[in-house]
Amino acid sequence: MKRFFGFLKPSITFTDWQGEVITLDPPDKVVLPISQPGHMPFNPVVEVGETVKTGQFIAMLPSRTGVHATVTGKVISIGPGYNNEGQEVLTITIRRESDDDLIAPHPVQNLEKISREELLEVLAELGFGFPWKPESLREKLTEEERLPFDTIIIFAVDTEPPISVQRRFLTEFADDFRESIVAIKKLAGDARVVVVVPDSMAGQARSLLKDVDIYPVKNSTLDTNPRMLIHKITHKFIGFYDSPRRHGIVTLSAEDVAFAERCLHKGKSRTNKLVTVWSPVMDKPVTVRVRLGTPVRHILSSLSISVSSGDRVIFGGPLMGIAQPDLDSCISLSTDGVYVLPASRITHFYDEPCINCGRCVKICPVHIQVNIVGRYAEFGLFEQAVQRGSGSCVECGLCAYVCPSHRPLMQYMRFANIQYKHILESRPADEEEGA
Amino acid sequence: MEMIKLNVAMGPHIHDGSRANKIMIGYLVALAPAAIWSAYIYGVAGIRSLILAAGSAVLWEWLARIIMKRNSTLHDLSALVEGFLIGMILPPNVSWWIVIITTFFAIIIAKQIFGGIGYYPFNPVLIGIAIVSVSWPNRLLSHSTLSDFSLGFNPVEPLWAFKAYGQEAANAFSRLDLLLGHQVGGFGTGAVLLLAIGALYLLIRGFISASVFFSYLLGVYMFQGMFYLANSSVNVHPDFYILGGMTFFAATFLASNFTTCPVNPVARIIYGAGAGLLTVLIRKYGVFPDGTIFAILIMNLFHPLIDRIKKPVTGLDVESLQFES
Ligand code: SF4
Ligand code: SF4
Repeated sequence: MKRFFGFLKPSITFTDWQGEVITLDPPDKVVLPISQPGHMPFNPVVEVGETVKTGQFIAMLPSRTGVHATVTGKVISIGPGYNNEGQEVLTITIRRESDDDLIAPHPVQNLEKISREELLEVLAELGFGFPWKPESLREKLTEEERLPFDTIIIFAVDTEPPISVQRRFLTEFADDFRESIVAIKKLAGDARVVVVVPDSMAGQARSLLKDVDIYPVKNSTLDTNPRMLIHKITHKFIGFYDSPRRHGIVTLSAEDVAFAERCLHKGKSRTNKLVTVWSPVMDKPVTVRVRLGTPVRHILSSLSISVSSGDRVIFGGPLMGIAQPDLDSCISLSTDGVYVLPASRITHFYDEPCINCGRCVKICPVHIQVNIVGRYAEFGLFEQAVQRGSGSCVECGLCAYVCPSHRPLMQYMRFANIQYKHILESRPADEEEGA
Repeated sequence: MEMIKLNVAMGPHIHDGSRANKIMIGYLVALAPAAIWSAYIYGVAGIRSLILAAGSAVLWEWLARIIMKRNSTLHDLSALVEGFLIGMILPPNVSWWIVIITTFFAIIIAKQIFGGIGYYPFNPVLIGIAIVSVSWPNRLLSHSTLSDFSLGFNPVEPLWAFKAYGQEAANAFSRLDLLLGHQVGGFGTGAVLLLAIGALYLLIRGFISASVFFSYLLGVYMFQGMFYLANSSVNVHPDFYILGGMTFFAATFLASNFTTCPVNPVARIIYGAGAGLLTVLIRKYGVFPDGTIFAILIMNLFHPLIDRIKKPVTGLDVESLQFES
């Protein structure tokens, strides 16, 4: 990825090439997280040793999203584990014992007749993480989930190349997507519904989805960064310490939205996920359909990608993705990409001095003076770093990507933000007033 | 099953492949045409001081790092480039000890004492040259070192001639001669056309800041243009200031030196234009015929201040830096 024309702003762009989706065989074992950090744990409805069918309801996530068995087999353990971000959660592990034995779909009859409340109950149980929650659950929600909202942003774009999942909404699940949007509009009432699509697909998206806001974006990482998009659409900026929900904004991914329709009208529960897999040693990324909870080991061996010690396996894209500690990490609802970096291609970052070339400043979408803030963080001056705006970093990773001194700049931003949080927490309350 | 230990780290996981020493190699490439031309004009005497400057700069850097018990930084090639720049700026046939002293001040005093590449507040090349040109002004005058050369063109520094003899002496230099490098001055600072080729290369590669480069040249041209329009009998046409002396060299290699110039776009333009204005003022009112060195040094002083002129950080509200959780 060398650039001769250094005066141009580097940009990492999506190609229009998408390729067919390959459906992989189900794995021998799936691991499904059933709790979420920061929420009260919810109890599973199955027990260890029980046999479950594909699509069977096994637990409810704290955010009122149903979890379903994604293979047919035996529950072998329910206990603590880790999610993809390395946080401790409760997980259910199912060992596959036979071919899929699907539970009978139970579509909702007479959609017009059931009350809004009932509809929400059904949706939640079918595994759709709607922002509207049934009244009956009110006291179980976190404070944040009770906040009102006025904007719903649906991302039909992927965060970074070469992921090609959400942007397939036209080819993979166009009808479901349209129907769901109609339903969402009905539930949303006055709330504004915005669908973000790649600009090459804006025309088709407009004819598919009548009377919703279509927001076309260009095909590069700078334009599809979720927090930057929220800022452009609503003029509200979500900083490091903030969440969209506190600003009345709900974000959904196109895949999730399309899924709502599948579960309502067709009565199917959620078992599959699209994932783009890529490694620099492959000529092209491939997008596969796998069961939720599939260990990444299974995906890589099915595609005959070999991984050895010292390689890096990343969930997400090459810039913002999260490196996984081992091959047992499992695909979850938020895993859009798997990126395998062979040991020889790993980039090393150093504490080499900044030569002030200004490339990081030029590329930073939120105008942080990255070179200075990076130095503050390097020398432990976290308060100055935050005062100079490190909290606005949207973690796009482009500053470290372009730095000729290979400084770990985005890492410094996050370091300063987290350290500053600790400083505030350890500070006695009265001092905070004066600060 | 074989145990696989994966490598983990925080993102980003890829890099565009740029490297500080690649920028330095770019500088060397850009210097090459002018250096070769000058070597052709001045012969061995000129090459000698160029090589001496580069060699001694590298040596000083190596020594300094050893004495300070730090890792060697020779691989980033910055010392080599600074040595070459000094060799290009010093006049051909300059006394060998002047070269050594210049590189000593540049590398040891102005660069390594502050921590080396990336940390110095003033461009080390400029500090080195400034110190020797204040200390031994006559030895740095090209035509005094060139008495036994026959060059085939006027062996007098154009800016010095203008300062000493005024308008007419300046107009005796054909602009084409100046452009083609038929002028004396620093060893490699006169060949404007060849330097322009180097500058173009650096600009395309993004190795120097285009905004500083152009705003500096434009600044010199515009401010001298104003003087010229105000009184064309005393002030020389701005062409002469761009082509004569080391203006073009300074715009390419000195003013746009990354470490000592601002990073924000507007700040860069102010910095370049300010250096241009100071150059013109020093040339007009100062003692030194070629004020570029001091003009840029003065702007170096202000660069952190100028760099505060920037777009505000999106979403930053310093007043409300209180966190709920
Ligand atoms: S600081 Fe770096 S990672 Fe953060 S927004 Fe700016 S460029 Fe992106
Ligand atoms: S890109 Fe790296 S070297 Fe350049 S200014 Fe930023 S931190 Fe410094």
